[in-house]
Parts: sequence; structure tokens; C-alpha cells
Amino acid sequence: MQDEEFKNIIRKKAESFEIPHPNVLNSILAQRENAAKPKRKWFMFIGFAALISVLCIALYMGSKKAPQMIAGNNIKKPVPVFTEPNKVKKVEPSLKIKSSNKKPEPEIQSIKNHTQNFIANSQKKGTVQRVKENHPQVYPITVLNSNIQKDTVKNTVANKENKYPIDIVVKKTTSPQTVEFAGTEQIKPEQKDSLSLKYSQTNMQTVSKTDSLNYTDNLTGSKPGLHFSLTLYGNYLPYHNITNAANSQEIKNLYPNEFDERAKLVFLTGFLGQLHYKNFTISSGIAYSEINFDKIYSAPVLDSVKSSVVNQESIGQNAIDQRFGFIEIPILLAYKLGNKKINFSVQGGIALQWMKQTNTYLFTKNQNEITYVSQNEVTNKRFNKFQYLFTGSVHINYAPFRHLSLFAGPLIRLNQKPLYMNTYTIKPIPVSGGIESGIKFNF
Amino acid sequence: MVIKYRKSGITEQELVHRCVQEDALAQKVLFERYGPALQGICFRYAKNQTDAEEIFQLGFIKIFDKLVNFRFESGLKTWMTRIMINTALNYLKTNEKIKWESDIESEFDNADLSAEQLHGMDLKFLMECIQKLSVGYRLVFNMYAIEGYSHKEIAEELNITEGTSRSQYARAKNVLEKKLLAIGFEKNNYAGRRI
Repeated sequence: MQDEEFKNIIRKKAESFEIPHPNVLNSILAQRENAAKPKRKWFMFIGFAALISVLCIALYMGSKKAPQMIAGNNIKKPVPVFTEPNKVKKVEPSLKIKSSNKKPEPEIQSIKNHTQNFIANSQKKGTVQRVKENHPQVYPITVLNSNIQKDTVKNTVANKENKYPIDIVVKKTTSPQTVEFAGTEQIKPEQKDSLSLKYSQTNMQTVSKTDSLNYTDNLTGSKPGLHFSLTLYGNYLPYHNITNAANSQEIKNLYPNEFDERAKLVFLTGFLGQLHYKNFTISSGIAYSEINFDKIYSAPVLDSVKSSVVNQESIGQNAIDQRFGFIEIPILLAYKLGNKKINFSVQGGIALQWMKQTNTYLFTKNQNEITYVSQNEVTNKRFNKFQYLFTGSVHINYAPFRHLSLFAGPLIRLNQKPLYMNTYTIKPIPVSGGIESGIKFNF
Repeated sequence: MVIKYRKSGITEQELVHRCVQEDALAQKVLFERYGPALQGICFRYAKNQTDAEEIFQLGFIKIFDKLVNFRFESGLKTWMTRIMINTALNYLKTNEKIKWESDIESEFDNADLSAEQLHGMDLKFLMECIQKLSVGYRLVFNMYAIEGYSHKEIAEELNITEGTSRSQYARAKNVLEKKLLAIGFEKNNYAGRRI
């Protein structure tokens, strides 16, 4: 037998294999799924751990850095104005810097200008100019914004005899603010609860120390450093679009009005614990969300497309209501824009979801009879039990009281995985948009 | 709520597109359409059925994973065959120690297997005989006689000389023919029908 003939016969025989058993395909698909799953999980957990680690480090570093600003080189020491205390008699300072926040800047600026002129003149003449009776009737008060630790607040004024009447100008803000100043001071009775001094002034004529006080805004009650708040919130998301990862265009063509916007209601409610530092807030908690698909089926457009759920004889009179319930853990990072009573914040993050329950309700209307079938499919393997989504929102915040604030704003939620497993043709991936609002308690 | 569509009449391009989108039905169509030929490759290259099934699964997983990179520059079947052969070669290189039979015995007895005899052989029996070839013979025989590789391509693929490839094939063919004849007669598997 010639070689060519031999090869042809062998090739022909080699092609006459039977179709492999379907279980082989199932095994292949299962292996692929198993190979892909751990990667996703690892990716998720590593990402989550990295996010938490970075935030913790950032917060820790931030809290360590604050006291250094007080004691370190970052603090500008105010220049002494009075160089010969013996020549100076007790002076009743006439500086009237009102605490009512009305135009504090020009007054401070005038103090600075005076100090600078004084130094300039001294250097020009090559000698230290002595302060005489005609010295300006103001005392240099330099307000330096800097955060300090909470324990500096504890040092209240010990000896009132050493105090001189000066009002401290502090801008009211909704964010934690520590004010450092140099000069003499007097605490007004209404400010006693919120203002305190770390150092007491012993000699008003050598105003060279940098004193620190802490100002707590009575409106928000915000204090420097980390603090905690609890939020109860809810979402209503009337906009939905179901993207179909498998064959969206085909399905849309076949069912022009059925597979878009099938989700009738998505709502979410839950509690969030929050940690604040400066204008940043990290939040996490637990929530429950639900997506409802409610659709009345019409007759299929093509014979090749048939629903496996709805009985063909009664098609057109059926309605399916599918409800997916998720336990959700959001991890959110927010940044606050503005420090006033009414301000804005931008928030974004990821939410991990576990499918808690899936209920399918099938209504079949046949003449005067309505058949109702309910099925809990939580154990059905065709659903992706684990989901994750990205969420983003913009809030307007209103803080009417010290420990309470309200917020509301638009929200968008982008699911990253289809509700059905890969083995199913339709893969609805919900994209939702709506309104989020809530109430926040500050501790 | 599974929507079904036509299994038949789907084009190669559409089939690939849907498989990339993890369409289960399309994957099944692909599997049924090309699975038999690809399974045959695995049975020919492997030394037993267990290895063949493992190679087949590994190869198909690669095919599904790499379909997204398929650019239709060649036929789908050719592309899938190439992947399956590479999978088989890698598997054999990893799990079997390939020995190239020496050419000291340059002359060997020619087996006298006729075309009719070969035609009449049962496929399963033929595959068993191919599997019983030594791994070196098996590789070269499959690549040259069935896949249609040239000796030059085989030499490059297996890192041997062209001469070695030629001699391996000639010896493999001879050994196979002998096995087919000997075992065939022993078992009387096909003698009664064709021989």
C-alpha cells in the first residue's frame, strides 16, 4: 500500500469520531468557571484590603502629624512688638476684634502690617526701636490656622489675672478647626465652653508665645481628628437599564419593549458607620437592596425565540415578577466641599452584594381564572449569588443642629456582574439611577 | 427565563462571537460541531483514554479562553486543531519522556497491510494501536500522516532533525502496520469481515 493511500485512509478514519458526551462539555465549562472565580475573589479581597490599609495608614499619619504642627517648625512665631517691658505700663488694649465674624481679615491684616513696619524700621536704623507711649493702640494678634490634638483643649484658663481683654477672631466653619494665635486674650462668657488655652499669657508686653486654642463650631459640633457618625439612608432608583452581556442587540430587536427597563423598582436602605478626618469620610455598614422585574409577556416575534417559562398556549396573558434581594456591604469614600452649614459632598465606592433571596411570581390569566405561582429560587444555581457594583453620588448636606445633619442627592449604581450565570443566554446587568437621602447623627 | 434560538444555520463568525460572550448554547454548538475531530486528535496523541480525555478538556478550555483572540485569519477548525495539537504536545512533553528510537536498524521487515484491510479496521481498534506506539513514533506519525505537517515542520516543532523525523515516521508506520496485522489476527477482530 502506498504511503499516500495509507495516509488518506488513516485521516478519513480519524475524522469519524462521535460527538463527545455532553457531560464532557459541562465539565469543561465548570472547570473554566472554577478557574475564573478564585481570581475574581482574590482580586476583590486584595482590593478591599488595600483600600482599608491605605485609609488606615492615611488616618494614622494624619492624626500623628497634627501635634507636630503645633510644636514643630511649621508654626510661625509672631514677632515681639514690645522689646522693653519695663518701659511699658499696663496698657488697656483697645483692640476690638469682634467675635461676630464681621470683617476680621482687615483687622488682622492691620496688625500684621504694623508688625512688619516695626521690624522694617528697626532693621533700617540698625537698632531696636523702643516702644513709647505712641505705640499703636493695638496688640499683635496673629491667627494661624492649624489643627491640634484634643488634649490641648483640656488646659483651660487657670489664672484669669494674667488675662487681658482681647477678642479672638475665629471664622465659623463647619469643619474641625484649631486656631493658634499670639497675643493676649479674653474669653467671653459665651465662648468659655468652646474656647480654651493651652498657654496662659504671663506678660502682655512680650507677646512672643504661640498660644493655642480650640474653637468648636456650635453648629456642627465637629471636633478635630477622627470621629464617628451613623447614617440611616435610603435610595429610590426609578431609572433602570438592563444591559445584556450576551446578545443584547438581538434580544432588544426581538423584544423591543421588554428587556429594557424591566426593573420596576430598586430600593436600598441601611446603616452606615463613618469615620471622618478633615474633609474626608470613609463609610461602611450594612444595607438591604431589592430589584424587582415585573413584565407582562407578549407573543414572541420569531418562532425561533420561545420562552421556556411561559406556556406557549397562554402566552400574552402572563406576567412574571422576579424579585432579587441582596444583603449589601458598601464601602464608600466621600469628600466634603465647603465648610458651611449647607455644603456639598462627593461620594463614591464599591458595594459587595450577596443574594439573599430570589422569588419568582408567575401570573397566568385564563378567562376569569388567575393562576398564581410563587417560587423561591434562592437555591437555584443559575444566579450569580455574589455581586459587586460601583456607586457614585453627590449630596447636598444641611446641618441644622450640632449632632444632626440631613443629606440628599442624585445617585448612580453600576452592577458589574450579570444576575444570571454564564450558562444562560440573557445576562441582565442592572444600571440604576435615582435619589439618595438620609439622616446622619454625629457623635 | 431562557431564550432559545436556532441551533442550526449559525455561521462560524456568529458562533465565535456568541461563544466569546459566554453564550451556553453557542458553546454547545461549537462543542458538537468540532468536538469529534478534536477528540480524535487527543485519542491519537495520548497513550490511553484517560490521558486523551484530560488533553481534550485542557485543549477545549484553552479554545474557549482564547476564542476572544481569534481573528478569522484562518479557518476556525484549523485554529482549534492547532490549539489541540499544541496542548497534546505540551502534555506529552510534560508527562512522558520522549525517546527517539535509534536508526541503527536501518532495514526492517515491511509489513504487508493492504488498503482493504486498513479500511475494514474498527476505529477504536486503530486508535488503540496508535496509542501503543512509543511516544516518539506516535508524535511523528500523527503529525505527518494525519495532520499533514511536513518533516521540516515536525523537526522544528519537536526539536529534531528532518532525517530523524523521516526515519521515525517510516518506523512508526511499519510498527503500526505490524501491530494491526498481528493483533487483528489474534483477536480476529476484523479477519472475518474483510481479510
